[in-house]
Amino acid sequence: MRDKIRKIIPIAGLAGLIILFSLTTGGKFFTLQNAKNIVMQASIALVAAVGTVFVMAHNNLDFSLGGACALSSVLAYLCSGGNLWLFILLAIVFGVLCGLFTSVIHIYGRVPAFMGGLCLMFAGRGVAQTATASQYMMIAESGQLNNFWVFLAVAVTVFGIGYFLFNYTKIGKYQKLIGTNPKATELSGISVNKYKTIAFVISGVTLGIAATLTLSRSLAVTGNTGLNLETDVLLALSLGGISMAGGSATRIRSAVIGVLTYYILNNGMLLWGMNPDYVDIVKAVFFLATVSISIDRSEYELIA
Amino acid sequence: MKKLLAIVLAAVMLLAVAACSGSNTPAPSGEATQAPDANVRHKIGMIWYGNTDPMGGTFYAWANHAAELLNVELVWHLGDFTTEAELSACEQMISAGCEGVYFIPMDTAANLQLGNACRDAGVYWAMSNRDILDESIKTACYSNPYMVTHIWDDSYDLAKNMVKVLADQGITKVCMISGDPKDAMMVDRNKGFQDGCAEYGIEILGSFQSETDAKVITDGVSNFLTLYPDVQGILSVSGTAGCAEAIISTLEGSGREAGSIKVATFDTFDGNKDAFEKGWLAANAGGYTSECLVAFLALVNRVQGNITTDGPFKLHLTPIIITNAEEMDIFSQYVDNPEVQLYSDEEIKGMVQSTCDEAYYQGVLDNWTIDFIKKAAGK
Repeated sequence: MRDKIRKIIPIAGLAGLIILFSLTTGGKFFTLQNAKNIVMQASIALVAAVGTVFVMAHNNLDFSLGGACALSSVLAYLCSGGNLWLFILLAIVFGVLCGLFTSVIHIYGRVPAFMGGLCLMFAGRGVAQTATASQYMMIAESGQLNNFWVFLAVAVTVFGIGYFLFNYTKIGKYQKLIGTNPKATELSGISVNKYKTIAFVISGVTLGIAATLTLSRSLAVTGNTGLNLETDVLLALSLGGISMAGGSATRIRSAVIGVLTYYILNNGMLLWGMNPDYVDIVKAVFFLATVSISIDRSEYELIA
Repeated sequence: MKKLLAIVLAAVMLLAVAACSGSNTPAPSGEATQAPDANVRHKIGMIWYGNTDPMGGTFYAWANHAAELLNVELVWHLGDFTTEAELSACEQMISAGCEGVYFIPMDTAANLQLGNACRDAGVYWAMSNRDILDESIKTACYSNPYMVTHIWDDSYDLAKNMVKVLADQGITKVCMISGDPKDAMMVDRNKGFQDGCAEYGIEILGSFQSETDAKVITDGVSNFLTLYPDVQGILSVSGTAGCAEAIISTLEGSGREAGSIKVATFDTFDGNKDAFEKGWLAANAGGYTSECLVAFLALVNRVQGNITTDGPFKLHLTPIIITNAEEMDIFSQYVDNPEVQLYSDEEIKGMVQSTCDEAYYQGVLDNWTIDFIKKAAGK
């Protein structure tokens, strides 16, 4: 029973928020334009979150997202010369390279992936700040992609592919196996390192796509590109009830539930016209309430 | 569980698809066609960086006071530091029914993105405190019928004048804390410091870039003191978010004689009067709040339908340089104080009238001097 409640809380929280804001915003929440806004604003984090789920499933955390997004954007801009379509392709390529960097640090350096991710986050931000200091990296045509249909199509496609890979292929299933028991997985003849690397590559691909969506919203690559992306994604996944220990309890639906919850919460509070001094407090309380109920405590049983 | 998830996702998808079938119908023209109704409570969106530092807190208080006075409802969104975040806030404000949006653009492209979002929704917008670096973006913005103000400050000359204050005190060697070279305002401040130093014969020993991270500032100033023991002054493009406090506290903790290193920094900060008295601070530039207020009130004026023009008001402000503890004290008490409304209710109402044109608002900004503050404060 407790387990069922734990599993249902994230989706109940999302449904509750939708109902709450529908009833209390004087009809502003359930407008066509507002739905568009939520979908567009949530898409970047959703795309990045889909890749992050693969990494978290094998019990790792990727803190590189924001810095890697900035780094891949800067490198893609410099190599593409401002050509939009080349930028998109290269952003994915450099996103993958960022993922590979983290996995190499993790696997061959034998350090937790989040440490490699932190290095990349700082290095990426530093490189982006330095590179954007010498030239203004604007791709005005990217504004064409700042379109509801484009964002919806990208988000649905990425989530759909991610859902398929995660639930119906070895790529996803092995991530959960590794997260549950890496030793047993290795002994059963599965290359743990190979599948961990694949997870980081997938995360890199989604990061590159997220970088492109970010560009289309901001038109230019700046030192602040992707700022707080890792925080937004990890917060959203936590709200979506993702298993922090990875393994078989990991569900890719956490991405869509969490991201929608996070952005609907932000949206609804603004529609309320809430005093900005209280916004972060409310967010924190909601986050604490949701996560404290939905988190799987089995891994913390030994804490006195 | 899966059924519940499917229902929620289906609802979201349905909503999303329904959203696409709708059409935005902005007002056909940026010009008001009806006589303003004083009883209508208009709603304005305020995208603002924060309300915890002197400028942020003061404008937050000034705008709230003016809104109450003018029967305007404000929707605030604090802490957006990227174009993407500002655009998201702007979109949500439009959904919330705001008829005008005010913001300080975090990047030149933000003007275009937020301006386009406002234009598509038929919502007026006003920006201040930044120039628009890219000419194509500036042209696009100026042709946007919903743009109300473009106010920028004359940071270049101000920075040069701050260097002159140091030069007049015999300073010949400084270190410099620079700002983002792609931020229009920081470009002016960086260049003003550099050109000022060249003009007044001051050598820049070393520099690093930071605008909002007090810890980076603390470490950087410590490094200056170690690497350049003969440094006589520090120039800083930003004192906001605890940065100026970090410079002064690092100097105080260095063991050097009080006042042996002179600081010239943008942005007023907590403890600046004390820093003047101890001799650390030589020049402190501030007073950007007035351009925020003018942009906001011009926006209210347009939203209320009092004025119509063919294009945005293009205005500029020369901020104030304070060079002594007495004036700093007055400035802190009457400008950097959210509890004090420096502009009287009559003056605020006077800025929201049908007679207010570009020249009028420029006059308000030109009048922004330490003498005006003293007079308003009854000093």
